[in-house]
Amino acid sequence: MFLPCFLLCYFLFGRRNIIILAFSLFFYFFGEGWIVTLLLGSVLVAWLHGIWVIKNGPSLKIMWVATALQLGTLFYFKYSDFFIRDVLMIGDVNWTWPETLLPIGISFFIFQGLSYSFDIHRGKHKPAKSFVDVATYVSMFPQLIAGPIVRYGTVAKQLQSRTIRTGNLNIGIYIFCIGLAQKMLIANKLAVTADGLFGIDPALLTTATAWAAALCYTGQIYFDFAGYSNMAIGLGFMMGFRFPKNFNHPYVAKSITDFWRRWHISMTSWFRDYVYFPLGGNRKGNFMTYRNLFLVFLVSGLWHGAAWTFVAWGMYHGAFLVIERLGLKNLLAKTWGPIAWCYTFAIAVFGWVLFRAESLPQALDVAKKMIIPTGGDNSYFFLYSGMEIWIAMALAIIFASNIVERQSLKAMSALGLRTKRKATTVKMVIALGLFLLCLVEVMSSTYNPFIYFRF
Amino acid sequence: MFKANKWVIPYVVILSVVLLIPAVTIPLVDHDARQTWENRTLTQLPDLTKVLTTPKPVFGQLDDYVNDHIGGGFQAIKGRRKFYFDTFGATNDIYIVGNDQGSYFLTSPFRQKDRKQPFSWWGNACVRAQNPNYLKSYIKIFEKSEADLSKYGAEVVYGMVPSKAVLLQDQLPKSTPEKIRAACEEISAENNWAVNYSKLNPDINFFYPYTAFKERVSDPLFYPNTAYHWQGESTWVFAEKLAAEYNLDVSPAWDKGPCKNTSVKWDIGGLIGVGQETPGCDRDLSSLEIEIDEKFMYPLNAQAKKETVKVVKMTNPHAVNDKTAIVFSNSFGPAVRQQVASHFKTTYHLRAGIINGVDMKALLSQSDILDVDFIVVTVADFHYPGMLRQIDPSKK
Repeated sequence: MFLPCFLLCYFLFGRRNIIILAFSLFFYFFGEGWIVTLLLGSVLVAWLHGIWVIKNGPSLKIMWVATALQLGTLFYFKYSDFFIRDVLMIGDVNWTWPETLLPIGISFFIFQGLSYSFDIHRGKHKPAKSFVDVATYVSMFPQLIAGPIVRYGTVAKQLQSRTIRTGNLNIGIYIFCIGLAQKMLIANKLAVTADGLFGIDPALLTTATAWAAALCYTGQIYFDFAGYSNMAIGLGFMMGFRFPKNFNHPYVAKSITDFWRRWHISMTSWFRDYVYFPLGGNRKGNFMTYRNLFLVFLVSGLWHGAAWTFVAWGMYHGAFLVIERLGLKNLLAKTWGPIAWCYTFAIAVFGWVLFRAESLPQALDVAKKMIIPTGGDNSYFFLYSGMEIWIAMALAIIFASNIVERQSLKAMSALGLRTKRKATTVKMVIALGLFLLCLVEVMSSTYNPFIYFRF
Repeated sequence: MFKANKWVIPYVVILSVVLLIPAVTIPLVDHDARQTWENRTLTQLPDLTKVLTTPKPVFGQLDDYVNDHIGGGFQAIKGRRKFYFDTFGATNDIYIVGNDQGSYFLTSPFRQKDRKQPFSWWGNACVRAQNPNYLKSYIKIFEKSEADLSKYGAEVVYGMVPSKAVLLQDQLPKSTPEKIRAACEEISAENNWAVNYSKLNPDINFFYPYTAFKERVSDPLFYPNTAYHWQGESTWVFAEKLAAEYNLDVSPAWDKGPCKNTSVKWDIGGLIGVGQETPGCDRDLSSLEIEIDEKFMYPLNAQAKKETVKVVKMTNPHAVNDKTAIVFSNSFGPAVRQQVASHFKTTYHLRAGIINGVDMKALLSQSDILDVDFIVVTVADFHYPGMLRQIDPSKK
């Protein structure tokens, strides 16, 4: 109901940024109630910083104030409980830390606000005078709660002027439907097995079921997150915006370094530009480069969630990036492709076990089962699966690779679909088919959270 | 500045109108059908005036309301279920699974929203029926129920029909978890829930015609393999064995002749949106000449409250005694109530979910009206002891 109402208002009435903002705030209000004021507060901080820069020029102090306010909000809502109880371990004292609800998408909108502040401070972009423009940029509903993390520079011009043709709508609808299908037809199916198997006592897992759990989650997280990103990109296209590509077939990577160039690109580039480079990047010698890489991934792990599993996951990836920098990357480049791929994929899969587990002991138990051959009752797999899981897994393998993209281009040429119109017709037929399938899934299922909502 | 070419607006209008169809058709949808099919109350429209004070619950309820009432949603659920079943041999949620021999099984509560407990019924019927810890804790519930019900002077029998997981233990679907399959295969005339409970408390009457059912289960006319509820010939066997076990008087109208071939509606089919019929075998219920009042409204504690409970009252003109019985059952009860009623002068049938513990107590207390001689609690073998909690007089 929300989308068609938005589209009608957006295209039939003027003041489109206000319409986007109004619908975005309602979208957040619908899900989070009055926590929407927190979102508006974050926008206000970014906008006021911009106004200061316009009137007085960049000021390091003001930039730090804006940053502290944004990060303070993030820390309070996302990390305070973890920090007090798990890091300082003072949970047993007589006073209790007030329980905080984690606002959906807080990491995303705070990071967008921060990148706005950093960029205008550096003079990379002119600050926006209009509160509506800044608010529209930060709160735009397609990418508000799970990314991609859009930089202000990417949409600054589009906020002022955009052109929409039917071609944009077609592309947008196609990308949106692809994303919806990734979520509904692949991620949600694999989630049944992954959730089921991660939900049982690890002692009951065998090597086969532990791998099944890890592989299903590997597929689930990719198609869930890439699906959301594609839906956001598709909606952006329909509205006249160009959001950056967030995934580029990460599971075909042949090194962890390559993996991180392909996975959650908007987040990786955010950390590169705003954390890694300011720390000195690779300009201060090898040791500092390794330290910086490790730190960036430690923070990146923490960004995903306030738990030791996420911290360990960040450190795990950081460690492999350092090892690759130390020389493994060169070795992998000379190695036979499938071996390099196996190494990368295995590291990613074990990483996802850390990421998915409820606790570090559970992660270690599952990983142990994956490594040490353990027999026993494999029926838990069948308990949480069916033919649809096999089909979803087959689709996941096919679409996680870049075979489809390459072959579809060849097929279109072979079928004489070189003209834009014919290719569009084929794409729209695919989109319609996927949309109908997803519609049936949506209508006949209940709440379907995106995994990245919680980050 | 915003530019759009001339076809964009008509394109978007058409697209939006199409997308809005499921929402705007909400008032036109037959919601009662879904409510009946899913055996639950659909979400009501929230009080939208509270949206500013408590937005999250109001919007949450609104979301549920739209999910429950959206046009095409019900058809989508049924279509999806049927598609999965036809294609993969099991519904998308593994409620319904088929085996290679053409039998169909329900594995877990139909309304379960996720698959956290697939095959949970079979776990109750097979695994828990043999687990000493469960048996020990469950027998206490039976003992409490027995104490509560028997103080009204009635003989209480906990009857249970063997379910398919137990009867077709060597033909379970491939997707059956190994642990559950192994436990089901262990069930026998000497090792089943009734025998195991009886060992813990021989004073409680458990009735479980396992052997009688097992002997005839290979006959598809006895227990149609596409049915979930027992029906036809098996219901007569249940009633006959019950009468024999508890020395009940059998009505002269009781038909001892062979059953007649008939068609049985595939009740599992209803859950996946088809209504197939398969051959079955039944006797002529009309021969019992039981008078049935389906809308008998039984007054509860008339002095205290004016509420009534919907009860089916059956009167047997051929009764050879003047005894009264209550059949308390879940959905398995309607198939057997008339057969059981032929053993008594008056029989009341109460369905689970209609009466709660306090009302059951109030009903039984009115001995001047009821004067119950026999209570039979009848369900499939996986529903105890949850059913007993429903009629626990201390629980509402």
